[in-house]
Amino acid sequence: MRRNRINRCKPLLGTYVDVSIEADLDDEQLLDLSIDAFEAITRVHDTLGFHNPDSELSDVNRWAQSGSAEPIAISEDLRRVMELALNLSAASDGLFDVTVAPRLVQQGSLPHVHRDAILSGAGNWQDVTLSDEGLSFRAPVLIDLGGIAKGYAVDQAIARIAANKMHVDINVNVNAGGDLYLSNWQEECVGVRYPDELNRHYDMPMLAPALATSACYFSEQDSVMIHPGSGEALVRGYSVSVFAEHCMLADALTKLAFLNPGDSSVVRQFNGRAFLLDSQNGLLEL
Amino acid sequence: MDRRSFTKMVSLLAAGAYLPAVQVHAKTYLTIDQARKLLWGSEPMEQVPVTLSKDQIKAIKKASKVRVRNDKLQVWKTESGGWFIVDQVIGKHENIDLAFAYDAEGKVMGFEILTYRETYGYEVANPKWKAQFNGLDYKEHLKLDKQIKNISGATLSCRHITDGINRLSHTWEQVLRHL
Repeated sequence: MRRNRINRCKPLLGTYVDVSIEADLDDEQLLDLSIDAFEAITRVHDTLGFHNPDSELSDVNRWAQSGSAEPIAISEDLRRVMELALNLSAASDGLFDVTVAPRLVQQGSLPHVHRDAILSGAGNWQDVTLSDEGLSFRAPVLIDLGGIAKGYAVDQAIARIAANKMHVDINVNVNAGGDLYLSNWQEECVGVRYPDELNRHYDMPMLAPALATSACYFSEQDSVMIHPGSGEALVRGYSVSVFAEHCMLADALTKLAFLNPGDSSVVRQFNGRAFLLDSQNGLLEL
Repeated sequence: MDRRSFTKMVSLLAAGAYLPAVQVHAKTYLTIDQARKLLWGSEPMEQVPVTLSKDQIKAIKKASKVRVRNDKLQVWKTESGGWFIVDQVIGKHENIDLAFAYDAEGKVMGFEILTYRETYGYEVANPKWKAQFNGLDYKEHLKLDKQIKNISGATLSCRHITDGINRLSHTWEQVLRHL
């Protein structure tokens, strides 16, 4: 059978998610694989979304606001994301922090899903404990996984396709609004958008299977890059791109590189490579 | 790849990247026929010519709070009384062709993106540039697709798709259900 291809795109995770699959398979089989991939992404969208009051994350946020010291049981998806999030928080001394959500609610970047939530003087990542029993909280916090879950969703789509039983070589690309994973990355190039000239992109080779980019692109919106220390919404003219083994890691590491481009030690500790891009200085490895 | 060879590769690529080319980010996904199969399987359907009257456009706009740009609709009625609609959603920076499935009660059963075009330059304001897509000319789109690779960074929200669904749901309510 000759090489066949399917491209599909769906609005999920607050962006456009693009799935391309190429293999020696017929149209039906490719379609089935694409359905599997979107199912995995939809599952993450439904489980980890802050905006959706019925998501598991919203249940956890209600629990975190209730003042209970007991742990709440969590799904495997939430466990994996929180595990990396808390590891990155510890490694970066709190520069990566998924509990900055109250600040994002205050400035209107996130909806006021939890009406009674404590928005000022709330706790931080150090008040969150992950154990075998689940998540427990020492102070009321609100968790938003917007800086990490998109990458996780991409990884899950890739994993779902890799778990197929078709025994053929499958080339798959998943791109969730710039957070991407390319299975044949060694042969691929990527265009990184200039943050101030969105029609232009800087072409470069893929340096790892996953890449994510973060910046403040649209001036009409408030920056969602909150510095956990000062609470300030940082506006910067550059974008940062991070290559890593997994998209969740790439996604999360862009936040660290954006907030503190002068120190890439955590990015390196997690085997990532970070680049800063703006049209004045071009590309710079951190 | 070590750092030196990488830097070399980047500078070679950069020579090309600095050309003042204004690129349109465009991508083709399913064809109308593929979307039809995906959304409706083998259910027979027949194309129905629909041209919205001025009053209908006004009513749809009022109910959905979304502007109606096209008075001609590309719709097919299925054997079970459902609908297959090919339509366009236009935002500030994007222009998306979609195929929708509505059931006999006017409920959205699903939709697929056919083509996606995004631009931040002069093109959007240029009526000629816009006009080339109005006929849903897929040959043109395929040509555009060839220059596209994976792009990282800057994404638009999906709000306009929600608006488009809202507009078409009211189009069903006002027009299609009576056909």
